[in-house]
Amino acid sequence: MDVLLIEDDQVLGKMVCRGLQDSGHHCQWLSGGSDAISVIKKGKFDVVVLDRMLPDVSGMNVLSSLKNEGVDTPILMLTALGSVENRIEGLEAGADDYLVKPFDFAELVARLHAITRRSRRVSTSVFEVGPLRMDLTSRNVTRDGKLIDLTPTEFEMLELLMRETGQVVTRKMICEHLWDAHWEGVTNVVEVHMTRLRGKIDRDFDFPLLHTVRGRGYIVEVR
Amino acid sequence: MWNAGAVALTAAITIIAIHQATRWELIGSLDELLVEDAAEIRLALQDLPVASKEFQDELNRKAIGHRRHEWFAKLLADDGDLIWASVKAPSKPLAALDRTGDRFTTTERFRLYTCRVQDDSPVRWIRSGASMDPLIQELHRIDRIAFITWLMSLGIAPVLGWFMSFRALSPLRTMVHTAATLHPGQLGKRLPDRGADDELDHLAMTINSLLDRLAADVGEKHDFLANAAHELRTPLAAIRATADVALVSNRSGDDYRELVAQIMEQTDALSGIVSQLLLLSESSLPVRIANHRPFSLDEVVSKSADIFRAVAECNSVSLTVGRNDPIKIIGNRDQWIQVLNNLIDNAIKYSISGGQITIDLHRINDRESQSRVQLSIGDTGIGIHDDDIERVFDRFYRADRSRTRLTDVSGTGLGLSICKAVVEAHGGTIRCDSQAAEGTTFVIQIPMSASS
Repeated sequence: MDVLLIEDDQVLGKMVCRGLQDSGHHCQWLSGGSDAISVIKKGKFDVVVLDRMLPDVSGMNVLSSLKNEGVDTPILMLTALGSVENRIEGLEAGADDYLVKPFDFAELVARLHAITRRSRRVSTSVFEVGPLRMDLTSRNVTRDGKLIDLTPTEFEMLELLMRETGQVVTRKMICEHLWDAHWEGVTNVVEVHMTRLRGKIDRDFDFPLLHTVRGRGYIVEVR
Repeated sequence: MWNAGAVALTAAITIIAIHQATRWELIGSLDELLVEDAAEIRLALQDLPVASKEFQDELNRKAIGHRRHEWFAKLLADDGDLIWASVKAPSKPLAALDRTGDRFTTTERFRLYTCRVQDDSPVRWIRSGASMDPLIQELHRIDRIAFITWLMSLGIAPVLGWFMSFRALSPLRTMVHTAATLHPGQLGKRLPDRGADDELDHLAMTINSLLDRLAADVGEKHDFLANAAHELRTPLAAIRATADVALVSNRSGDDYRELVAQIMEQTDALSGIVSQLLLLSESSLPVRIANHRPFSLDEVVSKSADIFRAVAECNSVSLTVGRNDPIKIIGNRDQWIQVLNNLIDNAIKYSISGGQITIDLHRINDRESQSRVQLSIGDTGIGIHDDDIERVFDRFYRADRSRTRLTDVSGTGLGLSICKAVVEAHGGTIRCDSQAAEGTTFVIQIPMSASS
């Protein structure tokens, strides 16, 4: 992924850029919004990460002039303003997604994947990770061809993990996915369901697919 | 100025009234005198002829006696010719004879009474008269006194008015002075109660009770801020300590990973507290209501119950949904998810193995009050002691953990105050019914006007 990051905070900008490069993406970093438009028009970026509060021009202004210029590169807004209105305002102004600081790096990457995928309009009804197969149409999950019976909550959690195969999914992302809401109350709910899910998809098989990434979240992959 | 004008006008009206009343009174007594005299003359005429000396002497004496009034009496023939007149009677006829009957006449200077001599033939008329001058002089004297009084009232009224308003407004000045010295950091002062039980005292009492509420609120905010800072300090200290440990000596990659993962967890805790604080301050703002949208509360109930059921089962607690009527309310869905999750999470935390949690959502229709939506979450857990029930909704309050049998009960102590803030922002109420060792039920009621 070619990412353009527009963020004035030096530490955050440096870390996000480094993190993206570490996970195999290409990242260009601007610390102001004034020349953002010309840079975006010149370069071929898959996605833009735009801070809402910049020292020179407001992120909202950059966003609206990009939309006026007809730039269709997907845009993810970063902000410290987390209220519902601020989210709505950002999304209505044409942002493809909205992420509130502080955020998990894994969540940023996952969301970037999600919006680039959305913009390519690729939709799939079957996910496969090694021997694990999920069919969204029939809502069947099988491993080695054996049908696995999941509760609706477990199914939704696995769906999110399989969509993001190879990427870390955080607890917060799971909570928001389950309730379809911006909810940051991190409880042991996710752990309980993960334990059960792991019991169903991994316990009776040769090797585990669902892994816990300490301090970050969960990942489904063949190791 | 207006006041002085009103006083002057009132005084002027009073003076004119007094002038008119006095004039009326004086003329009345003069008339009485004239009628009486005419009657006397009429009686005398029956016994004595006009020409008799006694008759003439009698009337002349009377005329001399009433000199000051220039009193006189005349006897007139029916054609108006003078038959006889008392001494000093004006020679002019003064007024023409009106033969229609007995009547009073007022001329330039005189008041006259003319009456017919009864059973007389040929017809004769008696006319008694007196000068109006003394009467007018008397009136002038009264007018002068009244005018002086009026002038004095004009001078005194503003002074008196100013003095009275100065006295009446002095409590207001005290209020203004006290109010000017109040500021958010020092809300201890109160307005004095003068014990007069008048409007100003009521105003002072109202302002005092407003100050009481403000002082309580400011105090609460102050405590909240102090508590919030304190709560943030704990995860911050942990993060710092972990980072310190990581930096103090050379470690293996796995060790570093482990320490950084710990920092991440503590950062999550810190972030959780910050977002709860934000939610708490957001939900208490009335403007947020503008962003309320309709959503299905029953759908939130079943979703949260489904998700938490596994957690309850892990703790050997059963979680069931009793009634769950389809109910749409207008509000902030994210906030209601938080309310439900906080309450269910609490119920699980404070339940003992084998306990039961029941969630119930339905409409209630009272005859007296408007229809409401009731949501209750009850558990058969350890319950809350009576002295703690009042305070469970306080920010950062946690029932004394030494009394509970659970040692792993964690949380920020903001959960229930968030519930309360959200419910109240939706016009509802939340209460806690609890019996130690028997269980706790939280009951939320919101008006139907918040639903559709």
